[in-house]
Amino acid sequence: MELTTFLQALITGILMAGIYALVAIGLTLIFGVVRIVNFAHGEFVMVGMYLSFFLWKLWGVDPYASLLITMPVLFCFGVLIQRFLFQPILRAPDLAQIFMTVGLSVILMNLTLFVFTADFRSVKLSYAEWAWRVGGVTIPMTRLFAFLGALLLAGLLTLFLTKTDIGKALRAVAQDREVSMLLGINPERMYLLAVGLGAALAGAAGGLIVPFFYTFPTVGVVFVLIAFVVVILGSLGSIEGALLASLIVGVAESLGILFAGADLGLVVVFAILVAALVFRPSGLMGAR
Amino acid sequence: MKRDRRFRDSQSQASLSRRDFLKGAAALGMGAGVIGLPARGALAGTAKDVNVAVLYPTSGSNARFGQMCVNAIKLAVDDINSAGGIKSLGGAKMNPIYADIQSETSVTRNQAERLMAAGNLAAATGCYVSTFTLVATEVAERYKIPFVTGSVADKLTDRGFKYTFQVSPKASMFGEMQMDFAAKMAGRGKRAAVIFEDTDYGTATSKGVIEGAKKVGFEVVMSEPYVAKFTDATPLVNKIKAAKPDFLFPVSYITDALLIIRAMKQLNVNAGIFGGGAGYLIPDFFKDMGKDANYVFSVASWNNDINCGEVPKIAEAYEKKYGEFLMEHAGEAYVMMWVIADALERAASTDPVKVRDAMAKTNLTQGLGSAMPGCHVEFDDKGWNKHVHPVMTQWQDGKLRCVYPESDARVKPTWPIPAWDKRG
Repeated sequence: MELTTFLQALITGILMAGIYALVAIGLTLIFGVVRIVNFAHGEFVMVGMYLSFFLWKLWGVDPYASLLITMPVLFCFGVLIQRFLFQPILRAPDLAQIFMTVGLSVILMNLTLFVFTADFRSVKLSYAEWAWRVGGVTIPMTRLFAFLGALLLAGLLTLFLTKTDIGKALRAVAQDREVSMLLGINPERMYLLAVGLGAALAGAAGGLIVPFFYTFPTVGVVFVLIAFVVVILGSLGSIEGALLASLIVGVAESLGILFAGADLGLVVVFAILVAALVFRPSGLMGAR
Repeated sequence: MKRDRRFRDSQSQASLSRRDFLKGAAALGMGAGVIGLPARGALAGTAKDVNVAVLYPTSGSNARFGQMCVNAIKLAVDDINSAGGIKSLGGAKMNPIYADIQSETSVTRNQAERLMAAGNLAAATGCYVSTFTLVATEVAERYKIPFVTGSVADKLTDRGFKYTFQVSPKASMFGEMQMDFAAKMAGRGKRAAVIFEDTDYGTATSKGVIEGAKKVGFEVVMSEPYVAKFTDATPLVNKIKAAKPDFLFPVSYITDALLIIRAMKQLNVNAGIFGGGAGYLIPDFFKDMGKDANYVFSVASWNNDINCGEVPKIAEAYEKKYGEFLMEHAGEAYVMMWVIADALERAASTDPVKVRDAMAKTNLTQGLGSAMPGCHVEFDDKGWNKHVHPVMTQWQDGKLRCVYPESDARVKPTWPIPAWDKRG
């Protein structure tokens, strides 16, 4: 095997990890704070993709610039979902919560299918095919932008969580709800914030995906499956864990395709997940 | 209610653990299967109408293809009914009963059972994806309802069912057609790479491709299944690049087809592309790829410009109504409705057993019911249309044209194809 073939697979894997991380961070944030497993998270990404797509289609807004619109819109969307759908079932049995989020996922998917049909849509950008060629290795620009965008947003979120009072309050609620209440934090408002942020990140992921992928009603499923693996592998609720795990998953998938076979990329990913669950039951960042 | 309260009391809200999370993940699969949109379409027409069940996936992962087929069937039904309906039944109208099979085998079975158990069907048609058609035809065989399909799996008619009729070429024929054509264009002894999505469709089709390649003396330098739901084709194309093939034979659905070609361009891999149908044949391919779609070949079971009777007229009517060209499977879906109408006409009855007997004697050489490659629809004793064969198509100036065999083609193939960086 030539070295460039290997390097290409490695770089492709790393670039893929950016998007996986962005979707997974939103998911893990919602889970960490609100303790709800959001099966509709893929559909949040899908909504973000459609928003970006139509902003481009109708008004020619560049997908990267559209993040400035999609993120606030998705934030509000998330807040409304938390207030009216998740909040009433926070104390309900697990099963009710699962059906709420799965139901929401099915509703969003089928509603989109009904309104926008099953068509595959894609944006046409002058720079869509730009690629950077270094010594036989090709780095597609749109993938690189998505990776850098994901890193930037993850960094900003970490800063927000560690340096600001609201961010610290959010982490306090995630750590111990009762104690945080004693300290005068209103957990329900933190829940709103967490789901809002999680949805905004999903929206951002949507905007970053649109330049190189296709927008269709079931697109969320493609990304959310990997996101769940990343979240579990990286320890539930841990952002650093999600970043590290997405890197592992992205590279494992890409190298798995090269060495094991193109139908085995995901098998390698899941094998790593299973092994991790056996040897480190609480994930890479697990304390237990 | 009581049960619910008990759960609620025992549930301490802060204790959701990994185990619950995983449990939830497992339930996701179940949940998604149970919940879904109900089937559209009314069950009963007026007494005189002829009910035909139309089973296609109009939601789920195959929705795009299913919807195009349903559109074509709507057009066919309008055409049949406005031409006077079934004359031997006093001008009875075709009444299609649409059911969405949601791209799921379990839903396909349920929908087929539901419609066929009602006992008011004269015939049925569907399902585009062979996996679903295999299930639906099994149900049809049990209820003795003739089922006409354009799905390509060999198994469909190899099982010797009495009530299954397959108008389309079989999956195993596609590979040979592709290789014959490739060898004709480029000569023998070339390097071929075969990649295929790993469901029934891709696996069955690729077998024929690999056998065909060996027959014409091509060296198969890569043969690899892949999962169509990838987010990036670069790793796969990277591997193709390393194998240095002269030709690539991909068998794909939609997004995977688009992502593969786009990655081929980005990595500047200049193998001739001979698609295995589906994703390479639909309007979205050109809509998305633009001029990069040009020169891509694909094998097809039907095309909208085959040299056969009134095909261009149907294609034009469809394009006018739905704003995109009539693709392979949708074209066949249209033809199949006319095959059903012809059988009804000769049976002069809506009794499905009589319709089946009439259908077995189908021998159409003209009219819209014969508009398959070969221009002749006649079923062998297993219910397969013995005169049909696949055709080769090529994207030329944004139009999908039939280029081979000469008897079906109206235009010539463009060969050799220019390298990616030499295109204007």
